Amino acid sequence: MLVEVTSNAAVLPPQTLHNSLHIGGVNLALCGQSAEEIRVNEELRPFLGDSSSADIHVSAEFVDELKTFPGNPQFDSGALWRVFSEKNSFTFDFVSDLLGSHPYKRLVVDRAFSSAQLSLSNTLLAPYAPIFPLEYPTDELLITNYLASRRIGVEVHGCGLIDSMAGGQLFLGHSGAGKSTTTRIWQLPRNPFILSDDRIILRLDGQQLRMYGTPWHGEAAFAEQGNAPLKRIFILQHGTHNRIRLLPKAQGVGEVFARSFPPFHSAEGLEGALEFINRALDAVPCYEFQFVPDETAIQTVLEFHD
Amino acid sequence: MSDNSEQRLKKKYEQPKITVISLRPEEAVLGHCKNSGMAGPVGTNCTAVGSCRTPGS
Repeated sequence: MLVEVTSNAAVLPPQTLHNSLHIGGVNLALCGQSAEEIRVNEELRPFLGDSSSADIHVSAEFVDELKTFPGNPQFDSGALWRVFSEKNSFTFDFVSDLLGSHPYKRLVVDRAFSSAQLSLSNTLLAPYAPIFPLEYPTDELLITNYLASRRIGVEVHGCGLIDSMAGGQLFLGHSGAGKSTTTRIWQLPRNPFILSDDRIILRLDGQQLRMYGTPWHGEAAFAEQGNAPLKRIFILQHGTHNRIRLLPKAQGVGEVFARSFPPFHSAEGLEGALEFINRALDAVPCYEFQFVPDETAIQTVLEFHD
Repeated sequence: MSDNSEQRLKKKYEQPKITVISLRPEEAVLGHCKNSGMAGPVGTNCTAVGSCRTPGS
């Protein structure tokens, strides 16, 4: 169930050593001079492809060490990375308390998120070999920023599954809202194709909203490459009974945005993500779904009509 | 058009409502652990990095 996504992908030179990933309709090429520089982890392997062109071109290399980037960051994630803004590029520095104050990895990417240089500190990372240059959250940052900067998609916190009869179903929720539970409830009686139990990419194909599986799974560890059209979006809420309530569009946009992964470091990117969600909810309605965690929740969805 | 039909066409005034939607920055900002053992080169001991705030979903 693949959809052709038009892009201005750059053709890779034939001699380049690279691994191509296809995530959310975006081709990402990880290029390097050695097998170590293009190594991908197990979670990404199902998303490997053989594309000879790339929407995002990442050139990876191991360097002796990385110095702390001068100046104040534009945004600090409060976790592993902070980003510095320059005229034509962003610099993401990855720092872990466990490895000291110097970056163990640096991603310099153009403002369109189409070309990136990834430098990895040999000094800090050698004891932890094998190293996967794109390991979380580098891969996810590249894809989500690429989508937001072009206003062509957004990643959301949700589980997405394709039921053989009912089609694509998307349930959004914060942690603890019941995404993994919902996935498990559907799994046995319906045996759906589960794209992800935690992270889904939304894109528009004309006026049709589609959801895409991602490698970044949740507790239940479902992560499949594939996509499906959507007729509606559900916002999960635990309840004492099953109830589906249509949300006003403005509230729906807010609820989806609150469960998305927008680029907080960029005003343009934030606006792009919000604008995309607004268009997505022109295509499909958004409902609050209060549910009880048993098979009656499935029946409620299957019997529901907009 | 009579006054009556004009009144029928008028929408009933609804007072604007403010709905507060909470953001969870520790979930919305990439880089925090999605589940145990997921972030960074020392991912298998991620809790020691101090960035795990959202175990599971």
